[in-house]
Amino acid sequence: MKRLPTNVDGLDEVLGGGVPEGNIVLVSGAPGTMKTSLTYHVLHAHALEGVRGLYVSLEQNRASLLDHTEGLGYRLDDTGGKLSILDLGTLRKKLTGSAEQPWMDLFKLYTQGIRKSFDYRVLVLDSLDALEILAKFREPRREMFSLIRWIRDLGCTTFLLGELPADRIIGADPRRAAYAKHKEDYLVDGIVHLRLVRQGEFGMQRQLRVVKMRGTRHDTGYHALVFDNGFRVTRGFA
Amino acid sequence: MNLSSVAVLAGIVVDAWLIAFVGLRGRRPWLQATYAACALSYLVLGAAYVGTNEHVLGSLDGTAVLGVMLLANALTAILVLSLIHGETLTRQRSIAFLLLVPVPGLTALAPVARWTPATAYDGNAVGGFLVVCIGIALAESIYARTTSRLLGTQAFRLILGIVSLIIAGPVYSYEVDLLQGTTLAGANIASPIALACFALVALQADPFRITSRPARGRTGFGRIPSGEAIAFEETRPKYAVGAARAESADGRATLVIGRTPPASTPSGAAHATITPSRNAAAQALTTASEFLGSTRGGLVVLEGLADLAVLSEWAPTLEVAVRLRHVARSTGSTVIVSTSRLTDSERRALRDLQFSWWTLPDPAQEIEAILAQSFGGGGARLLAAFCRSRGLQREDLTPDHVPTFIAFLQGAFAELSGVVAGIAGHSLRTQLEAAASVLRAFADQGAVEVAHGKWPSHTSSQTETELLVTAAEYWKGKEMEELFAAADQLSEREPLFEKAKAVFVEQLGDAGDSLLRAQLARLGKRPEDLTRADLARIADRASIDLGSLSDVVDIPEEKDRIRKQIESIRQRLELIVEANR
Repeated sequence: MKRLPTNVDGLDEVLGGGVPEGNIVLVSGAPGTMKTSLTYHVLHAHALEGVRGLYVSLEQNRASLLDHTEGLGYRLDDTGGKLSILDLGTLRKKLTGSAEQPWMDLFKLYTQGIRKSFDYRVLVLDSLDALEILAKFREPRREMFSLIRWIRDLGCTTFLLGELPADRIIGADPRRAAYAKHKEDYLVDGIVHLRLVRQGEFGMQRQLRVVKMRGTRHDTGYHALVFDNGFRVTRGFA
Repeated sequence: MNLSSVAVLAGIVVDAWLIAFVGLRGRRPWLQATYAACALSYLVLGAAYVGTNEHVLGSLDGTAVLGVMLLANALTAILVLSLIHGETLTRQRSIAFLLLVPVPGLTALAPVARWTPATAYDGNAVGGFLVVCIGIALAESIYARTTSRLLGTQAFRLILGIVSLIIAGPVYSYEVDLLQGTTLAGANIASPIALACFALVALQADPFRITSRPARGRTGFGRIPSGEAIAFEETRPKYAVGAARAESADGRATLVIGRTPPASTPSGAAHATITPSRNAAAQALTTASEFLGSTRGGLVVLEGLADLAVLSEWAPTLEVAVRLRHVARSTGSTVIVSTSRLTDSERRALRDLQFSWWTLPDPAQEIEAILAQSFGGGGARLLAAFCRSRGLQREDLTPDHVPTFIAFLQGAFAELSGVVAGIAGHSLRTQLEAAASVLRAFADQGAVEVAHGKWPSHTSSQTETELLVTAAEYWKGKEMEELFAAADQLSEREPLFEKAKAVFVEQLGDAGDSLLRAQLARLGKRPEDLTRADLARIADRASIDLGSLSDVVDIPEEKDRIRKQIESIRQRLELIVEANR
């Protein structure tokens, strides 16, 4: 099985070499757990190696996203055009006239069209929740199932970002935690959960757990996720 | 550091830069690898010379240097052959690489026979091998220069590179020998010139960028026969593109080389867009041959033959067609060239090449002929009404429009249900169903059946050749005036919104419907209230209001594609406005 390394120190060891190519992975976590940064890191690292990637942003606009990621040291210019950002956040503001914009159709129109001209291998959708709200899912489970099946047909490795409320995670029992609203955690091939955990009186620590990854024997425990000139997952965290 | 060391060192820097340049810019991995190996061997020879001359390295083993020198010359010949015969070398690569076989043998024999880089050009086996290598490269280049209009300029550059290698290699060695000076010990001071010439030739004939490239390896088989080149004679490349879509649907690796990328609906076939350059013909050849070399049994549709003729002139374009036929035969693949937009003389020249020649009809003419069989002269009226209702030009019609056209006819018949009843209604329905059935059968035919079968226009025109108009012919369709009038009215009365929606959906898929509704909402109108003036306003503002669709993309090709779709929407809306004036 071919794998797509995440290029995150320690995470590829946890994943047995990386994410199986073509898998759809839900990266879920509360605000501030660095979902955007982590997935952008994966895209950026692959773009530097010549593998094309597409970042679909429904929440942040392009300028804001670049401010954020370049602040972390991920310069878009370094990728030589191998990383593309689809700025649907800006389109939200520009397309006025009707509250009923076809966001799901637009998302499909763009991602399919760009696949033809740009042939990206890695896709990040930021975020699944924003798409659900914009597209006004009437039957969320059925439409989520249909969306994930459609993404699977694209044939690229996909990271879907999912928002979780902060209070659901801190201190929750991981065996009982839910990682998605509409059971999409059953539909996706992998789930990476990010959380913030209190450390001592004042400190907080980011933690990562690979909850599920089809076709992979992986460690299911939580690991510390550290950003220090790049991401690092430290093993053996208790 | 003496002057010769400085010159060779400068050459090393240029060689290294060229390796990186070709490696980054090229799109042919095998050629890039051969180029890199060849350039590296020259680079190593130069570095060895500078190292020993400047006493940075100890005395090097002469046999190793001789081995690299033999390798460099053999790779030069292989590289030149690749650049000239790139389209067929995929199958003959192993033969070309036979030139490498003597290298280890001669290197092994060197200590015994006392061959050194300094005596490499003497009359011995090593010298003979070097002459064979450079001789092959030079002879092939001269032959290409004198016989090929396609490769003439490129062959000149190759000759320039090889001659510079000869002057700085054997010729310079003989002079140094006569003057009893110090040789460059295998290093060739002209290697940067030669490698620059080779790089220029390699990059100028690089393939066009291919979108949605299928996996390598053997592909499925479609209905178009393999192992031959077929000319599709048609006014517009409708059947050529249709054949690509059908073959692709059958699992066959298919590439369309054309002027513009396909519309929004994905057909499954890969597409390469011709970029405007004088080398477009050579690029089209390498695009097709690289594609067929990597996907055995594939199909390449060259719909832009006329564009190549405009960009690179006709003689090189014709040579591309000949070479592609050779590629098709040698790889068991198929190449389709469309004669669309070629001049009569170009068409004749292509015909003289004895290609398999498939003459294909204009679908609009055939649809009209089918309608004439059921509705007489009124068929043309029905078709015109349909085109008006969809904002189409008659020449844009393809067999893909048939299902929509049948639905349109049925709509017109439904309009009559209250007016025509009883036997007349039954008769009208029978006629309509008969026409629909023949239309469907025609639309279901692929290029193979149409090219080898009888066209409806031929069938219906047989009586005309007898210059006899029978009473039945005369009265055919006359009783159906109500249907024609209903179709005319339908095309006029069909809500403007439906016509505009068809245009938006055709270009933007399912998102088109909602985007049109959003435009209406901005005007404060409901779909049923849409007027011609509103539509004209939407058309006027399409590039501004819908322009943001392309602004959010940062890929130039995609931006361009979306802009074209928006421009197409604008033009089609204007046509609808014009037709409803």
